[in-house]
Amino acid sequence: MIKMPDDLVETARLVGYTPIAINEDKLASLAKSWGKAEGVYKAMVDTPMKASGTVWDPTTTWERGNDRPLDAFTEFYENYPRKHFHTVAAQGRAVAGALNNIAGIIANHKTAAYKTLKVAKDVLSRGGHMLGGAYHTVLFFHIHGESESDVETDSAAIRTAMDSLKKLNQHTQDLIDAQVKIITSATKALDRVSDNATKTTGALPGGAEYVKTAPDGYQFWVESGGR
Amino acid sequence: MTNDPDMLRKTGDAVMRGVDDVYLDNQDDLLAVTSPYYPDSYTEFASDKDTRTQNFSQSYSHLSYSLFRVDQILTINERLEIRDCLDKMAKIFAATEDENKRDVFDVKLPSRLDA
Repeated sequence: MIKMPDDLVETARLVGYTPIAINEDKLASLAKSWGKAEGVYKAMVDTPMKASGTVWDPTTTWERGNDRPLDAFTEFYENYPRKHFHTVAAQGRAVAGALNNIAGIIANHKTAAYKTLKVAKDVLSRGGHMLGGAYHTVLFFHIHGESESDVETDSAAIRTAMDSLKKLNQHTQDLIDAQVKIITSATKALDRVSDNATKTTGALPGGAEYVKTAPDGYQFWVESGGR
Repeated sequence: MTNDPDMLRKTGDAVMRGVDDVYLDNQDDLLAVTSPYYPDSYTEFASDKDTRTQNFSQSYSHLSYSLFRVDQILTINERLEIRDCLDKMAKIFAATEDENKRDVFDVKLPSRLDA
């Protein structure tokens, strides 16, 4: 994780910049997990079909097309869990990509922000007043022991830093929000799978015995805006 | 016409065990992405009042909760249902000698399965 150098903390405070708290390394490793989850959800529905003695690999004389109940079951299995697991797997890939992109956006933001702060700090610390009381009042033009030109250079440096950090913040937010759209549509796809799976399972004979809809509080949470 | 409860039992076992095997091999990775993040509890990505990242934090919380939910339905509820259905089928097969009198396993699927 890119950390803000300790000697820039004071400059950041002065120009009103708040560092981003999210750890980009954590995001990148989470992206890896989502990437692996894609494979897991794909495998989940294929693994049972590899076992022998099942309807998929019969060791008896059963043949597909001669037994209506078994045909119905295999058709059901093909159509329902397989399809749903593949939809979930597809979201895994999309989310992994979005998380990786956000990790990159945050890393770029941090690098650019600290560079801007460093430039401002270098200008402001020319006279060695960086940590003195005068430094903190520089915005109000009450600088003791500084010449007029120093004051102008200092406030220009602060204004420049404030401007570019403001632009950087907005740019970062826009970039992240574009990735958020991918995450939101993945969420919607997963919710649709949940709803369809609940309906399908409920259609099984004696169905819905085990079907639980959303866990307690979930619906309320979604309705209140997911916050 | 086969009357093969053994095949049905093996199919049910494979459905149950197959998912367990995949899960065991990938426990850590799945745990990282299926843990539900409640909005009122601590999350790794909490970014209150940080406008740059709060949309992401909120949407990610929602996403991981949705995956948790779909995972529960697909890997737990669905397996239990399938296991149950196969047991029922085996019983119907065993109890009914006349093929024409056997209940068939007709599943009426919802009209729209595409996600």
